[in-house]
Amino acid sequence: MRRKFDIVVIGGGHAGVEAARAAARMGAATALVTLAPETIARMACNPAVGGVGKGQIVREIDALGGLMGLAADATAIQFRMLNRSKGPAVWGPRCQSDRHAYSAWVRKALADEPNLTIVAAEATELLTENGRIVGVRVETGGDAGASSPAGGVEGPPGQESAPLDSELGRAEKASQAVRRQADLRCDAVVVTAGTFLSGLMHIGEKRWSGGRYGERPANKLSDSLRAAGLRLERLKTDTCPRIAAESIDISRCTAQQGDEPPTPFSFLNDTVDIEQVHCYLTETNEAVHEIVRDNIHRSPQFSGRIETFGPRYCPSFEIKIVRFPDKPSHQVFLEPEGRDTNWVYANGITTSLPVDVQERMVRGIAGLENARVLRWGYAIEYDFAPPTQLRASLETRQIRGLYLAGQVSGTTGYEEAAAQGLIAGINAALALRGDDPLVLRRDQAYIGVMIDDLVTKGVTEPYRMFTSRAEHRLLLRADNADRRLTPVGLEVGLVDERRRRRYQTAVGAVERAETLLKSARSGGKTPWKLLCRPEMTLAKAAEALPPAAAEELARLREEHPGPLESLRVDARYSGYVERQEAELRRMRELESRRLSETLDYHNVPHLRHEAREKLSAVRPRSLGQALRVSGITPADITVLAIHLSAGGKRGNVGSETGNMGKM
Amino acid sequence: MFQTEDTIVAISSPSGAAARGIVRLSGDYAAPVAAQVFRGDVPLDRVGGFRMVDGLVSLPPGPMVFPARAQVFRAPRSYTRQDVVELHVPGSVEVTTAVLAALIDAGARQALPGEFTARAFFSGRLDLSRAEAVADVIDAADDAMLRSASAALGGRVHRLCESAAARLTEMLATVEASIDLAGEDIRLESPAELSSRLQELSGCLHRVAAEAVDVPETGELPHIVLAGRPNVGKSSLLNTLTGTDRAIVSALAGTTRDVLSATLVLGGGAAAVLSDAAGFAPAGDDLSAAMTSAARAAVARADAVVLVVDLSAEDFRPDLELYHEVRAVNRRSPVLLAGNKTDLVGAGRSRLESLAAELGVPAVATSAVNGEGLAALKQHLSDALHLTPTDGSEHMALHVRQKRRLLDAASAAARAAGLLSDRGEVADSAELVAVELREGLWRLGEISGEVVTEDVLGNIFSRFCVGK
Repeated sequence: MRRKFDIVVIGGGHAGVEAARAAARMGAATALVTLAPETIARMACNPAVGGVGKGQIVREIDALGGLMGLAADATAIQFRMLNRSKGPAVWGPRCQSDRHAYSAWVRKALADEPNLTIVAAEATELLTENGRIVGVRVETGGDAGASSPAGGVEGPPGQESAPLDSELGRAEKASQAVRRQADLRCDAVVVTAGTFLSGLMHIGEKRWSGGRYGERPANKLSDSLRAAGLRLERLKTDTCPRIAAESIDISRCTAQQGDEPPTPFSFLNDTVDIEQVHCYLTETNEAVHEIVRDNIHRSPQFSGRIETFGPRYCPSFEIKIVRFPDKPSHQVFLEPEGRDTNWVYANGITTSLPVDVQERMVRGIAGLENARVLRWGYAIEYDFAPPTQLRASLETRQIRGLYLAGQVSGTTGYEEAAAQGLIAGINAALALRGDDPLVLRRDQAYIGVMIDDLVTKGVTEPYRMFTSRAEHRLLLRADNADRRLTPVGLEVGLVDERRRRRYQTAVGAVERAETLLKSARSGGKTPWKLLCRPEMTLAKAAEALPPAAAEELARLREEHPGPLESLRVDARYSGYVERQEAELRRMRELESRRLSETLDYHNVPHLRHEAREKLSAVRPRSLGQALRVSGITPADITVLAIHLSAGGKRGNVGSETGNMGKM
Repeated sequence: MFQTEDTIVAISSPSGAAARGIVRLSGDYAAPVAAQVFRGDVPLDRVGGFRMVDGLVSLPPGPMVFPARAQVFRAPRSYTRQDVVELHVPGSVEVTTAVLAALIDAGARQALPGEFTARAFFSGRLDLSRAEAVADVIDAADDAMLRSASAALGGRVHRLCESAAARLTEMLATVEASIDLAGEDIRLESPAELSSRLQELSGCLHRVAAEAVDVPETGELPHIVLAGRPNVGKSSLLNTLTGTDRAIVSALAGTTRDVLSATLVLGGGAAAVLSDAAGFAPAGDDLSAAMTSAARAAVARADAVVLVVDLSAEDFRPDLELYHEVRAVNRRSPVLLAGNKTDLVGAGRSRLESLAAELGVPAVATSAVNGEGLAALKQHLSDALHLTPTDGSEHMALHVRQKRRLLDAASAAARAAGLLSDRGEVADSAELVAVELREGLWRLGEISGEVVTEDVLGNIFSRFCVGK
């Protein structure tokens, strides 16, 4: 079998598949090591892609040439544009997915990548030499399959099996009982271990080790990451119970329909032609809350069995009851997990209460009186590497060629994970070529905001994207992600010919239309200016144009409705964007002032002690990033700026210009 | 943006007739540069912080030689957090100018106006509003402004910005919740409520800015001088009286016209410059002789004099003589008698009272050690200088820059209020309202020179039950 690759990706979740596909498409011989190839791109939590902030990220992944938008479009069962009643800057595309179809679609897409090999094995050790990655040790066989909680809890459901793509995988099939070891040589490793690192799962008083429900954890890789010098900490997340569709009384719930027509994620798709399914909305009540309150001592979160932090924005149901005791009811969204399955995801009641409590709790909810629970909610604690240990390229500062992405870096969400995976994969491939890493700016992409937040501020809870995290939200829209990022995707070589052509046609139409709208005046105002008003449409604004121009604009609208609508939104916000122009320039200027990673802050004169400590810990790559480190003041930045412009004279900077090229 | 890398120099005693001339250096090379002009008993390079060295200044081409004293502060324990050296020389314009020129020849750069304070700010020692307030106290012109200037020392401008920012952050959290928590079952304030709260905040900021006293470029604080024989405790009294805010004390050591001065914040927000006229009493060496004349000049221009006597002393006759010396050079200003060291001599009060009666001046028994009598002393000074505010006016003193930022923040809040005023839901214009609120926060942050922390998400999650 093949033992030598350029890049090895560990983990086949949403981060791993983007990383592996991007690296392979950029020409790197890539291996994706996963414990179970049939679980590739599994949706472990809710069967949905996108949302406010997250939907914009999916568009960005797509614009860069990533996979998620295409996979979501191909396997969606319902589309909704969230925030449609608000301004287009904050519209959030979202879909319900058929989770089995999604996983299968992605597996097929990966199988079609000529440079990509799937290896069914457990990555147990990173091989390094002189602070550089040289390979990964993998093991196959042995105790495959998860340990399950004893009694009272259903075991893992049957999993569809898929043909294993590698010799190693076949070897595993042949000798399940024998642990076999192999070393894969490579120049870079992207670790996307999700919740698998020393995963510990909880339901009530029971706990067992596992990576996800019904899957075994990866216990050895944590030690290897620690040995490589990384600090690991613990985070926690919970999931909801899954319910059998036929046991739900939908007459007691409110149906939620998808948008007609649906808006696809990918810029490659003008439309999606699917029959949409309904979701259902119900709610909890005081009786249900009483059950939770009476049994709160049995919750691992309150009994002290779980000591780690979960996210504030996605608290377990028991935490909602305790923290907001006055709220008489909480929403529960019943989301089907696919077209050909009876599994329904009960969104809104994530819990790790004991099974008997969950059962009474679920059955107290309107419409769920006779519910049959197919899988109980559970909590999982797992190791993650605080992301301030990463460069903005997602490479670790400790080991050259070692990249981390996804939940292992302290985030939550498929979209957040996929975006990091994509960037890590791109940067691993760029490094292989000797090119500078791709670092997206905060005014350029939500992905840039996210990664900057992660590596600059670290996390105290799993990080999820919110649009309020972006200071230039009017620029970072779902509708203009292609204009923001497809040129970037082209430059790194991830955008294929079809996307390039579509993009160039769209941009041509937008540019032509903008010229038309700015060319004529009526009553002293150009049609472009008229479009500042929220109620103004392109058609109306075009009335101010001479007939020939109006006709041309109408044709452009007809042929390129999406790009032209995006242009209208540009015009709508242009006044606000212009006002922020000075601030944007200031920020870009600060971003362009690079700081050496080897800069010795303790030798920068006049810097406060606190600033020295914090900057030494985060090692920002630019003055702009330095300013965002918590506790750093503009005065500190002035001191740094002066230090930089002084060129670090008197020899107190170390290699100021030395290691700049590769960050 | 000031350069803070190099070593700067400036004359820091007032122009014109002054008792003692001070030339100050700040920067990494302060000591070596000074050493090229000043030769002390110990080489300046080897002197630690907070040390005085006596020596001689020699200036080319003469050479012109005269006695001087160097005071050394080592980074970071100095006003600028850099090495600071002050050369105390006889106070004539010719001398200080020649010393300045010699130090520039030796490698220092002449400081721009305000550059020492700028360095204190850049080193993180002062935030912007405090840095500006320091400059104000030095240069404050009239009582009304003074009151506000010293209030700003306690961070009044800063507190105003903080409280306005907290209100904006809370409202921003509501607006952001309406965007980011789509589909969540949360109840938000109505746009009308938000709009009126923003309108009110805007009006408040606008009013503060409109009513604020403009802070001019220059001004003068009343001058109080501590006189007394050696070892009566003048220095410790000065430190204790002004030491409530050490940063400001050393700040003024770096910016006032007299190195042994500090800001004394009196009751009611008034302030004065308090100086230690060390060397007023005769002593032996040359420098002291020079200083004697310096101290005399200080006393001569004082707006009030505190004659400090040591209650533990056996004989008050030297103090009596000193009083007459003071009166000889300054007849117009009130004199207060401070009987110091009550902590040592519990029973000295009756002697103090009889001395006060003999001189016909008010007296206060004080202790720099345990703080006794200091409040009473301040009150006496306040009364003597007529500094007590009459109407407790709340008007702030603001720099033009601060005022403009406040008005900008007020306008941003007003625009947000306008966007919300006729909407059915906050969400209808949420993304634009958020732009305005963030701008308001940004402007407020600029006033105090610190970026206002907008923990919007934290605010959201503490208020709303979310998570589906």
